[in-house]
Amino acid sequence: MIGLVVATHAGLASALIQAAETIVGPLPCARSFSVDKSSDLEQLQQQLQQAIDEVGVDGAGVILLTDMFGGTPANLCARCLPSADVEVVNGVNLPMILKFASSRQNLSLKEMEALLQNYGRKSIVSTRDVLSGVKS
Amino acid sequence: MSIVLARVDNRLIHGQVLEAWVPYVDADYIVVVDDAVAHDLFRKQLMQAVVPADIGVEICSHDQVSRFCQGPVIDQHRVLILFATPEDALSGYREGLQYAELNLGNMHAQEGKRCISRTLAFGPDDVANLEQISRQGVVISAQCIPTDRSLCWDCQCEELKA
Repeated sequence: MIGLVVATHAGLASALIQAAETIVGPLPCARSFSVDKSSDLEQLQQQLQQAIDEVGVDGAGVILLTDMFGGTPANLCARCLPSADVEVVNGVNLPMILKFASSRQNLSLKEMEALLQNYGRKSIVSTRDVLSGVKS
Repeated sequence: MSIVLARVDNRLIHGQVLEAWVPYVDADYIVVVDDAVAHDLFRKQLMQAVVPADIGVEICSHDQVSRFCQGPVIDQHRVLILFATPEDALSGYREGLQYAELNLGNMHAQEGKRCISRTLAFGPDDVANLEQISRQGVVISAQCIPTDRSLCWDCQCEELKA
């Protein structure tokens, strides 16, 4: 089973996981990782690695979802790419985590990375556009 | 020379810089002076990749600074300069990046360092390097993001030495 680490600024990561669990129930092998203003970089990198090790238990790899490409959480995740069995997708939203939860048994890590990128993009919609599409 | 911000930030290019400072100072070019990143191809590529396409970026080592200062970029662009430490900032100044002001953004707590805020911690070397920079007439202030209150370094410095 693919593991999940949601890595964000402040408390967003744990809130996103909590929100997802409210909808689909407990998410096993999922951790939040948060970066606050005062954290030391080397310490953070170790904490992130520890989170990856905790959720990457059965060799299926770990998906890292970050809040923003270019932000510190994403930069730290990127530095794991060469050494760990991980893929990083940036710009996390709640639908991506829900999709992850429902697909994690069936996909390879690479397939999951592609799926979440697409699904995350598709999930950003204007309600007015959707409604006018339905009408026309 | 058009340096719109010179900043000490051990995270170098990250969210606060890209999303807060770049628009605030209206920079169109980011220069990172850091030997470790400049010599690590992966980290260098990654740092370049996170900068939006309409903003120029140069990651240089200290021995490339003087050549950069002679090039056209610094006259033609609104340049934001990042250093990881006060030591880098002092070297950069001596190598030709003569900024009039220096912003202290992130210098995170480590053992043996004294904090003046949640994001700024200073060891004796940091204080000595900043004093040298200050002696060049550079105005040093501490401000993590533009909406934070700016603290004057000279006032903090006396406290750190006490």
